[in-house]
Amino acid sequence: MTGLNRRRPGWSTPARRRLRTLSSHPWRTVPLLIAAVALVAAACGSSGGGSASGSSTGGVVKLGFISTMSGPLAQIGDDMLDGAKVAVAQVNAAGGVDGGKKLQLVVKDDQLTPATGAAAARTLVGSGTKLIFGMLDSSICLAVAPVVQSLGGVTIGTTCSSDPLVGPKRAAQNYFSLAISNTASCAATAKVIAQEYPKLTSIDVFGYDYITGHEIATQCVNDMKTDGLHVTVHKSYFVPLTSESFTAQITALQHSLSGPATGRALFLATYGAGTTAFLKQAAPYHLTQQYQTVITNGGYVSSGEALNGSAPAVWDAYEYFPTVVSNSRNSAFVKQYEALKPADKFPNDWSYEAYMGALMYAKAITAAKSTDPAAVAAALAKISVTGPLGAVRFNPATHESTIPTLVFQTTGDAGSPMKLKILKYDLVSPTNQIVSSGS
Amino acid sequence: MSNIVPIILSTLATGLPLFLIASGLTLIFSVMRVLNFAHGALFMIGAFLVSSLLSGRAVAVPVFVGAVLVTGLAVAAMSVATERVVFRRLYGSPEVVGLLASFALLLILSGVVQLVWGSDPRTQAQARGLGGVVRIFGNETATYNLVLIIVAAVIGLALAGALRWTRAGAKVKATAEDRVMAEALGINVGLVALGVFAVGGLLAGVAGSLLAPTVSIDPSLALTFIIQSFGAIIIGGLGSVEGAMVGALLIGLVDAVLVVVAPGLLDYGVYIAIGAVMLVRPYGIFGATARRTVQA
Repeated sequence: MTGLNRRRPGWSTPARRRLRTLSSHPWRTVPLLIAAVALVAAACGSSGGGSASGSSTGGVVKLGFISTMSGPLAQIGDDMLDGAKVAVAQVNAAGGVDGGKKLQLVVKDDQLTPATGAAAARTLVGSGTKLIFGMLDSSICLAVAPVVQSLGGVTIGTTCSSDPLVGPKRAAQNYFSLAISNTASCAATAKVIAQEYPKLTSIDVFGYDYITGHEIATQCVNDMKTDGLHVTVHKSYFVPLTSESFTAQITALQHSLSGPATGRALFLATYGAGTTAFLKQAAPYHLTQQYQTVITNGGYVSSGEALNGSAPAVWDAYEYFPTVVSNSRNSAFVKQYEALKPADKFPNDWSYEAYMGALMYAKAITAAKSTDPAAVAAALAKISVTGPLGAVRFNPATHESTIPTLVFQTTGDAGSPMKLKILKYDLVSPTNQIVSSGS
Repeated sequence: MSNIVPIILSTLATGLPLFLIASGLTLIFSVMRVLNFAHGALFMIGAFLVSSLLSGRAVAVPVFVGAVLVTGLAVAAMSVATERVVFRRLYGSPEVVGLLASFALLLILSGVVQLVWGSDPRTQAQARGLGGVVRIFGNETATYNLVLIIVAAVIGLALAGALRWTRAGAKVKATAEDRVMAEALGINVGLVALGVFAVGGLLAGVAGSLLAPTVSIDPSLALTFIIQSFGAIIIGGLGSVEGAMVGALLIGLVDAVLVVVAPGLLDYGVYIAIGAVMLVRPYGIFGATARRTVQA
């Protein structure tokens, strides 16, 4: 309590002196007061509803897109942005939103830093763009969402999967999550693996030594047990996030294996460079062939592509793979994405999530007949958007999406443009039911 | 006993490729007195260059060797350029200035790599005939690991021999020991520095292109091996090529043993090795030069 009575250090003597100087010359304060009143009036106007909201000017509705547009992960940010651009192009071509207004993206770079992401959000909302989406990393969503909330905006995190972002006690009430959580992804993986390999008894784990790496490995193995598998972890190795030299671990795994591969699985709790390097270094030993199956949990496709057709058969769980379904919505999405980005050719999970994020906003704005953040947030909790993989909506209580989890097995295919081909897939609903399968 | 041969093979397979990177780093340190962060970027450029030259495809061994040499020379030229443009201006400046400059150079080169090659990961296939495994005392090891072990051992011996028994090596050692005195004795220290940067760059380029078939080639590669390389030269003694070899092997040994006896400590392998050596040899195993410098 005593702290409240202390003199605030920021309220310095020169500042008070300036105030005294102003008040001693009332004629100087009049223009300032008029300007202040005008500013307050303008600010009140911009937080109002309908098309007077700052995110809608004239015939244009601005959506704030924040992602990592520079640094080593800039390619992912670029993939996300291109997905969002396809959605905006489709919406605008179909007549726009809220009575014909065109969508427009305002792009900000978070530099993969929470503080920069929060600053970008502040700038966007401050300039009237109050409908924000994107963000690659959960730490950035956790920084952005409260800022946007406090300034009266709405956020759709398209890729972040951290648990504190969703649920009744989420960090920001106006935050909506499109990405599947690690929990849902593990549950879906376990469901499919238990169905495909009912006699699995032993799992070796190779993962990144960080909290998510350990959590994913533990969660997925526990879920497999819940789904009826009598599995135990045989060997587990966790390596630093920056490591790419795995000879010691591969040699140790190799020496620990004996007998037929049946009943044995390898779980990779790595992603990106770690997965690629592991599979490259394990290839001469035919290590993956000594397991009945190899499983990972998200982010595998870029590694599989990088392996240039030599990737082994690997199960992965994520939201999207471009060739897994053939319907007009998916075809249109893939076709327009390819046209936008001929060098990369295919949309990936990140592109798909950002694409769905922009579509969700478009439908919500039209449903709300307004760009007022409160109205849009209310609409987001009610609408459903049918995308390439089916209908997606947000749970009104938790703000988690009903985006299905795609559990799919790929193998290297040098002849395919993606250098990967699908062997099998299952689409798992948020209630953990397999809703469709294919090969 | 059954674990000894795999541990030795794993030690060599992990340690000697690390030495390839650490050797160039320590050589440049001996003259510059700065841990050159940009060395990691040159290593990364080596990996990108060889994958571009070969389009990621499996090629015959002579073609692969040719691509490695071309890459090494190209990276050596880049290293020389960094000496002429950046580091030459910093001789005589406090060491922290050189350190910051090398870090800035790392960031710049990483940015250039992203502009040229993008951020998508890529891979390089092994040369034809170098895939698969060989059996040594009943234990399998990857054929390519064996190649890396042999190449690194040959380079290490050649480098140590050149420094010990050639005139150029004597000039490098003299410059490393006392730059002013070396200049007073008529040694062209500028030329020596240029040569050291060229050899350091060559080693980084060769290391990058030789390790390319075993890693994910992306911009993060610049920092992937550089921290362990710093560890190797700290353990061996800053500025000592023999020390870099011993340091790299010690890190490989600690990793190989930890995998078997305490996998949970794997993250700390490098630091355990550094800590253990620092306790008994604070300037590293071959750290006499560093001690003299500090005492001076």
